[in-house]
Amino acid sequence: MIRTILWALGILAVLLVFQTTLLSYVVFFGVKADVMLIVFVVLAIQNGSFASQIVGFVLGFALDAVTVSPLGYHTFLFSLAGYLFGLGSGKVYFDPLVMPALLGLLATLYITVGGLLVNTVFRLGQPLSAYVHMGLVVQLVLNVLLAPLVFWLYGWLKEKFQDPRRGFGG
Amino acid sequence: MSPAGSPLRQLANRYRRGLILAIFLVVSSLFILFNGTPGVAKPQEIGLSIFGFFQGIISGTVHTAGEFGSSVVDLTDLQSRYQKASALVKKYEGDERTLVQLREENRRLREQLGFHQALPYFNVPVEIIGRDPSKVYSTLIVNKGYLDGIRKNLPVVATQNGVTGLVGKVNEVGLTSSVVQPILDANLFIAARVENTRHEGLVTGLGNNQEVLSMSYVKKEAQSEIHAGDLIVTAGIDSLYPADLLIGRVKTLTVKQYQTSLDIELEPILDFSRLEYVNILRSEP
Repeated sequence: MIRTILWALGILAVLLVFQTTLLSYVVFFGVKADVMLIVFVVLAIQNGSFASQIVGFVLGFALDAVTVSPLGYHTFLFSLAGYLFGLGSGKVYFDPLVMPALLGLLATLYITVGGLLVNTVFRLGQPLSAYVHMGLVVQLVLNVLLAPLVFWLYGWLKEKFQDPRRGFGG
Repeated sequence: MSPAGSPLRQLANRYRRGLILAIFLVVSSLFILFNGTPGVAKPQEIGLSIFGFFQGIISGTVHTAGEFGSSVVDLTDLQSRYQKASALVKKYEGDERTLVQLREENRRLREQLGFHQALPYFNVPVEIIGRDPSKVYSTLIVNKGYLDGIRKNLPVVATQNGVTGLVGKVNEVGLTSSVVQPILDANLFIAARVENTRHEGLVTGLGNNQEVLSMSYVKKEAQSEIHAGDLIVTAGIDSLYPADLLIGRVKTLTVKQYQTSLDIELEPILDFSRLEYVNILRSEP
């Protein structure tokens, strides 16, 4: 369990750095694809709620620490996201295209709507236009298109590097 | 393990997932609620410092890679520009040569225009478009002919360095070009006189394109009055050439005992090898 969490955190930490540096150059109509969010969802589906909410908490905290958002904002959202998306572990059949795209759509909507709710409930003072704007459509399209690719890449890497043998007795 | 603890632990184990989520959410909410409160630690400062280190590495790498890439692109671009610039320089060198030639031509044309307007006779400016290929004859071919009003035997003059002199006469006329017989030709004779003493004589060329003229039939008595450097002009008595057009300068003076006249060698006033434009004089506009 701990190993799973650490692996997930390691991957997401690297992505976090890349998301704020390298991927800053990959912009479509002023919007960046949220690779880290999609990978987080992939990992959550893979690892289940328990591990994912811990990963979400730590990742959210890290995000809060490195962005100007109020401390707790991302922590709240990603903890809950880890839990919610982790519920789908073992219950969802993954085809190569539709389900990943749907998860990409749901993740983007969740972050937007969830962020809006947190902002409203805790009176963080961000205007509605900070969440609902034309860029959101581009963001949705980008994430929907990107999600199948990320899911496929994750599956390929897993198949390539993971030892197929399992421990005996438990 | 106490008996009372067992059901609680069981309950906790059963709802472990939800419990942890609840704790996380509560903690997150507390973070939000106490965000910015004085005395509460600000993890952003620490987080940014740590995160900034990694960001710096990635950004630096990307920046270096980008600079390398752009350097390669720049170098390629530079090479391309260099080649274009070299081609341009060659072109400009050619253009410059053309410009110099055009300036020179312009200067000559202006000079010619000035001469054309300053001449006290009706005249047609023409360009020399050819010279006789043989050495025996030294005719000049000009670019205007019968259609431009050029007629046979019309006098031809030119100006060089501000000095106007006689070139020769029109010998043949075509529709659009003419042949000029220069004073260097041995078959052309011009009635002339020494400008200051007014002694008359007959000037002719020596042929073979030699830029030397000969003046004969000048009375022997004039020997003491004519000196090297004296100007020779047209006499104007044969009605072919206007009077007082410069022909040349006295170069040498020869007196032969058995002759009754002087042999005077003249240097033409014009440098025929540099002639490009001449004017054909007409009696009417």
